[in-house]
Amino acid sequence: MLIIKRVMLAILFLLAACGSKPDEGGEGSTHTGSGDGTPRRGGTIIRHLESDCKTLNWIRITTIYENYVLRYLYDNLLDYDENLNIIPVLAEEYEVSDDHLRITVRLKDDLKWHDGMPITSKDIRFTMDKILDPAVPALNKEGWFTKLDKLEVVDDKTVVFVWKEPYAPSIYALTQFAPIPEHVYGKGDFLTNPANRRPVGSGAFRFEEWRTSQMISIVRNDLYHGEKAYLDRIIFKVIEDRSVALNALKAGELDEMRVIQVQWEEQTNDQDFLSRFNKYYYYVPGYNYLGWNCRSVWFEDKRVRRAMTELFDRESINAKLYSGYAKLISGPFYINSWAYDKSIKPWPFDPEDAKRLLDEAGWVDSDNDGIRDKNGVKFEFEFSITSSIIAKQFAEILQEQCTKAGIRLKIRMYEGATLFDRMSKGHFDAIAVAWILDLDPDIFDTFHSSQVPPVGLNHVFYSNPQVDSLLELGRVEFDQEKRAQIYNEVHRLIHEDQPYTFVNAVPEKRPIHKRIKNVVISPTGPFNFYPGGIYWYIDDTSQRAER
Amino acid sequence: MRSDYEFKSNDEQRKGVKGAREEKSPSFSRIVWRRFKSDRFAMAGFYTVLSLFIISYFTPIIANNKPIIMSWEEKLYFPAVTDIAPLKWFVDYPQFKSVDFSEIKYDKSVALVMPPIPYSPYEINLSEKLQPPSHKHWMGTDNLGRDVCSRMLHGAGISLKIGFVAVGIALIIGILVGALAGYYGGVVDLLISRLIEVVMCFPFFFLILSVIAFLPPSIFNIMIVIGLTRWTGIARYARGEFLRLKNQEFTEAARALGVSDRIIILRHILPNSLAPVLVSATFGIANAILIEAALSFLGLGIQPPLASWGGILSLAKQYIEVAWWLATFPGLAIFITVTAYNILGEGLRDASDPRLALPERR
Repeated sequence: MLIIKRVMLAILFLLAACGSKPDEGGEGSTHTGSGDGTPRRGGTIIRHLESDCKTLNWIRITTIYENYVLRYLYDNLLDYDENLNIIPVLAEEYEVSDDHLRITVRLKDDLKWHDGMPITSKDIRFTMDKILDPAVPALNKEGWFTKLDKLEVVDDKTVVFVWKEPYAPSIYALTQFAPIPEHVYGKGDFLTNPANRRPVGSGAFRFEEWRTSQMISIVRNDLYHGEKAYLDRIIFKVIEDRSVALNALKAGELDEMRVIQVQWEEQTNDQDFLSRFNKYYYYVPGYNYLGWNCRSVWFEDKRVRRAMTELFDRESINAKLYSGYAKLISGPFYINSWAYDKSIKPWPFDPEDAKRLLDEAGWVDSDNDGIRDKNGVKFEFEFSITSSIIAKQFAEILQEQCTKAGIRLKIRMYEGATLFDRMSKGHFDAIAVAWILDLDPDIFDTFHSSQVPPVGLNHVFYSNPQVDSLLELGRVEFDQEKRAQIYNEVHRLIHEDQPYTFVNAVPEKRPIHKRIKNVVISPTGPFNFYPGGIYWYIDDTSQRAER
Repeated sequence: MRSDYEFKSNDEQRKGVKGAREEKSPSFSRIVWRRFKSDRFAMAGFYTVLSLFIISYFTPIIANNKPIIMSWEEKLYFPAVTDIAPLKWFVDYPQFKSVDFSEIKYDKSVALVMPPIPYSPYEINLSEKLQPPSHKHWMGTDNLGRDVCSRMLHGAGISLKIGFVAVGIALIIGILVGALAGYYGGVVDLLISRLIEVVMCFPFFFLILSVIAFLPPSIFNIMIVIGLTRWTGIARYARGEFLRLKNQEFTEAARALGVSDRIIILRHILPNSLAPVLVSATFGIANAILIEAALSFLGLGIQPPLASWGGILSLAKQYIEVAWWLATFPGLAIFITVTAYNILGEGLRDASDPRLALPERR
């Protein structure tokens, strides 16, 4: 289960691996052949849903699977385009005041909900009330608006977001904001509203049917404000087992799915497969890391943390486990972002230097039992992971090097939710997890010293006054170039301190059937931008029987 | 002494029914052994289990990255041999603490004799990940390039250990509880029997799962948990035997002589009731091995990097379509071991059952 949460989204299962065929897909935005020219209307495609949704209430989503579906059903006020620029979607236009405290948004004319009712600023106010309502769990949304002072409704089509203080990510918050209809969700209890399973939205597709643990289907919305979609219907088929899903893909029961490394390398390279599918890979914002609890006796010293990094052979992991397609990273930002400083090189794999650093930090084997110690404490710590295969591989590789360097690493596997709980309370020595990042580089929640558990997501108890003040500065600076400088400096400091061992950024890998045209791959993939997959169409329906 | 009396009476009965075959009355264990030996099927199971024990005992010199004989600074050492119990508890080579054996083993002048499988179960070699079986890696390699054969052998020891310790715990609890219930009868029996039924009614696998969720998963906890949940069958057998034996003449004689309850239970009845209990224990071992495999398969059993059959199988699940060897060998090993134990148990049962006459079994 992927759990997503605000600015940073924790994935407990580490990002899986990838490999082969660099010529297909890749970075930057890619368009695939638009067939014989003009898009055809009609047809059904079947997408893969790795796990059933828990709710289809837009405010209450917690997993990426729900996001897969709701992306089609709701339009945001603003959104990213395929080049990651911000564009208005439901909004006709928006305007930011000079002091950056007021963002005025005017809706397009004639916007309609799927049931034909007009979309007005009242719906926006209703949605914001629900997001900020303490009784409504809005894990994925509320964090964006903690700095919001109030929402002013000017007229039927105009609202003003008023912020308490200058807040650089405020404009990004509106790309995460889609109104939900008050006339549907305002009736009865919000949490048990029947519309949580039968959503009424504003997107290019509308909800048709949800068969629990089997499928969710959506159909074209003919009241859509923009250009109408071409596909008649999109079916999301729930198949939890990846091997089963791959067989379904090959048998033509799915049109696309996210595959894991072995599948990408070994099972999808035959002639038949390549003749039917385009294979795409792209770097979603996020990275794998090993977190070192900076308050534990072992990792309070940054030399020890750096030694751990140098003991972890990330080059071979990338080369052998990821077949060279994961990217080594050195800092906490999205590799395609302006905040990421490419001139900072990751620490090398260097066990000898690691041993030197450990000696320097006072961890020596004084009682000659093969394990380093200091002041009577043995270097013996617990490494917490989920049972995911990639986490286990990381743990076992690090363990082997640790043993050689005189450190005892005990691997402890937890069930996903338990590990997440321990992580958010800071109850661990070391941990292997991943962050999914947002496009705005604000990492206040994860690295500012005020955000240690139980308050925020700085679960490693990292604290550096310089980083703190830079992160505060980054939030009130609106000029991108100056922000880039600030975050590059943050990057450098965190790289020195190594509260995390930054492992790699891993591409997501997705074969998509060739009959589907107009597939656009943005730097973040085919879905997480506007219009995403809305304008896919099928070139030749005769290739496969309609289902 | 008293127990001989009981066996004699059994023998005499048989003589009466089937005609005299025995001139001198041999002890019960000898009869059982002789009957057991004549059962070829059971013997096959016995030899399989025996060879598993021998192999797992000598695993350190069969699969290890430490040389059996190595010359180091003009002296000969036997680092692999000293990994074998009980040597490993007494012999320690501090000079090898910082030695990387995975490097040394390729140096012919240092590593004079290497084990036939020169890989430790923990030796990672990413360049050789997921290799199919070959002369280099007899059972192929896993996702981190570790030798599967080496891991299988080391896993065998763990499986056997878990089987024995878990069933040992179950035996102690089961016999104790069963003895009390069977010997005292009445209210004690009523209470204990209901307790047994209550424990039996728990879906034991889920019980184990929930206990494991609270305890840190380690090999000892798994042994203890399996032991603590699997004693009910043994207790029932023990109770039945005690019920049967407590009114026999030899018990009554002991009681008439003023022997205490404790002595009667432990010395007089217990040895006579062991046969069926041991049979059920044998099946219990097979069961414990399966449970461990299942737990490891779910990721709740043996923690990495320790190797276990179930653990390798659970890995195989991820690579089922590209690495058949990961599923085949541990699956086969579990199948063979569990079957061997079951055959062994069945043979024991038949051999110790006085109602089954010897000649019919072949």
